[in-house]
Amino acid sequence: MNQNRLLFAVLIILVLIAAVNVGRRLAGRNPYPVFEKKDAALRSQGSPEAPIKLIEYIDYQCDHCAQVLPLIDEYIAKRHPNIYFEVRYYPLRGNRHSLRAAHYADCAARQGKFWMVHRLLLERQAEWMGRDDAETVFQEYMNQIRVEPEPFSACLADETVEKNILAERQEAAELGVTSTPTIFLNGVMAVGEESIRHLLEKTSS
Amino acid sequence: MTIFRVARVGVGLFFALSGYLKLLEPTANFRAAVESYRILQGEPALWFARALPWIELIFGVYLAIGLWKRLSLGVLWTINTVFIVALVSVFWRGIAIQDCGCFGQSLFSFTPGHMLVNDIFLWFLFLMLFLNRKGEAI
Repeated sequence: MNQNRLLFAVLIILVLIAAVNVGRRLAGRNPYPVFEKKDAALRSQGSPEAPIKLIEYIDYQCDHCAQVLPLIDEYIAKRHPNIYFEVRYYPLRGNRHSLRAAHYADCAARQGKFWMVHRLLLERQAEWMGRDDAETVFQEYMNQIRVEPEPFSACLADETVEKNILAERQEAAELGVTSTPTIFLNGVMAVGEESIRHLLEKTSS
Repeated sequence: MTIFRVARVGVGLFFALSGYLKLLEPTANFRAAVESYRILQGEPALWFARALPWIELIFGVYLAIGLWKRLSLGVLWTINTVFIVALVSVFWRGIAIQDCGCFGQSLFSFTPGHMLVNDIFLWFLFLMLFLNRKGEAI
């Protein structure tokens, strides 16, 4: 009798393992991020052939993303030139300025100034996060880094930029990304400041 | 069907669903939720995030179908008590958590306050089921 119960319990575990695998497949999750993106060169550092590949999904209005910035800087400095680093957008729905901030960053990227804007937006979050007129601050940043005004304005008015950003967010969702910061270090996913710190420290030694 | 049986199946399915939804997502998401409580960090948080959803799913199903009822009740009641302690400690330490992470991130979203009320209600259900001496009746 007890043996039958044990067998039944094991059978249930096997059925549950199968159910979880089927559920994961039905959810349509890709296990790893795709590296061949058309505009990746505008938001990346290092060679795509480098042995270490680091992708960060970011929301410019997320304070933890700003806190992770020095950790990533330090890791890249240690691993240079064997690392490829790429930033991807994941504007969170609840953050009112996130999508627009990503739009500004992307337009700056088209003029080869992505990294300057990326740093400004993260390091000086406190200047614009709580403001209704955050765009006034974004414009000041663009003046500081001297973007070409006409193509930049045209880019800001271009709706396809935001569509591409939202498509990138959808791609991230298919990888299981639900919050920021999320990184993939050679395919290993880490979410949030603590996990990212732990993964970077573990792979630094 | 007695009220005890309804409660047992309901509690079992609740935990099974909670575990299953977490298992559909990458472990990294639940690990981040665990770490946001600032009780477990690093490797212990990772192992907890890997193990807990399976324990919830397996013992939730066992309880719902009536297999090893006392053992399943004991395991899930212990988990429920751990959740209550963790949630109370979050409030005690003034840690701001937006989503308790109880059902993963994708389908349901509960604040720690809502989940604490829910877990306390479940705790009393467990007590009721555990004190019911007529084991077969549940």
